[in-house]
This record gives sequence, C-alpha cells and structure tokens, in this order.
Amino acid sequence: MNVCVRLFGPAAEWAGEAQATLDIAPGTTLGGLAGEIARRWPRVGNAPGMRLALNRQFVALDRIVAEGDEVAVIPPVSGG
Amino acid sequence: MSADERAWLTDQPIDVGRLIASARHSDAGGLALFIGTTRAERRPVDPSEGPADLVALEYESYQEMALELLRGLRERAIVRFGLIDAWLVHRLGRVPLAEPSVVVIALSAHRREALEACRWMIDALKSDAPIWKKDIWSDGRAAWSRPNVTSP
Repeated sequence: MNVCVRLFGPAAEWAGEAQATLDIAPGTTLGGLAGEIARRWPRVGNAPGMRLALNRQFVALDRIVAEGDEVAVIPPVSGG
Repeated sequence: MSADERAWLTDQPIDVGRLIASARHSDAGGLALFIGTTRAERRPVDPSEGPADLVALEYESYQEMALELLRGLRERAIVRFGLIDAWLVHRLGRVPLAEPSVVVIALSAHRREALEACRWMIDALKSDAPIWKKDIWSDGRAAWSRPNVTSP
C-alpha cells in the first residue's frame, strides 16, 4: 500500500530528498511507519524531537495509516 | 499564498499598520498585538571561528499544514478567550534585521482576554507551526536555527 512521505526543514536535508513513496502493509500504524522512515533515512530516525503529521494533523502514533494518506516528517520547529 | 483574510502566510513584508487598521470594531475595548522581528546576533557560526553577524532569517514551511494550523489557532483562540476577532500572519522567505516575521492580533471587549489570547496564540504558533528558519550570516552562510523551546 502506497503512502506519500514528505520531509521538511533539516529532515529533508538529512534525507537528501523532500518526498518519497513508501510501500507499507495495510493496517500499519503511524508508529510502524515511523520505523520504516527511520530504516529508510537513519539520520532522520536518529534525530531527536521529530514528529509525524498525518494529513496535516498531529495525531497519535496508534492511528492506522490509509492508502493515499499524506505523512510528513516534522523536525523540531522554529517559526515565529 | 493563502486567500484567507484572517490567518495567512506571505512572502512579502508584513504591513502591520494596514493590519491594525483592518482590526477596528466598535465592540472592541482592547487590541493586543505581538510582532516577532529578526533580532541581531553576533557569534561564531562554527565554534572554531571568530564571531559573525546575523543579517537575516530565512523561513520555510509545510505551507498546507501551517495554514490549517494558523486558522485552527485563530478559531480556538476566539472560542477560548471570547474574542471579537483575531489575526495571525507569518512571513516566509528572507526577513532582514528588525523586520516583522510574524504578527498576531487579538481583539476583544476587554484588555485581559486580548492580552492573554495574544500570548497564547504566539506561544502555540511557536510550539506547533510547521515552519523552520535559517540564520543567514554576513559571509553568506546559512545554518538551521536552534529549534523553539516548547512548553510541556
């Protein structure tokens, strides 16, 4: 099942790309996807304070990811 | 950028006077305003070097989410503090010294709610908005800024 993962700020630099399509099993939670993200981009996975957004919202990691969902890697923010 | 007239992102300088002028309401007894600006800094970019001067900040964003978040903060603030209205504007791209990067306005019948809401909105924005900035130094180098300290 395909899920689009976008990366922003320092995470995009560390990953060397701003987005990728990941193939995950149906029923995978956001937490499970976090593991896939860390495997694909170890430097992103090891960085402290990373958050994931699902369809532009911060949600709990036990949320199940659906096909076509947009997931974003959100490094510690510095707006304002 | 966004067409929403109360919470938006812009790549242009923020016209604060125009924002204030648009925030008039005969039921309002108080308007609270916060402007975040680029502050000068002088320090080594790399610990092994001598000090350099900050000349600007450069902002980038997950725009679709940032817009939703700003709009959501505005709506929550209006409900939570009983505001008449509120504005949140964040600038993206390069923001030179002393120029506004973010403006938050809260309008209410009484000053207490306006002041509390204004503070709440900027604190929440700095904690959660998917926006990142780089320090731009006098020698042209750019480096990601230290992340905002978030309250528990």
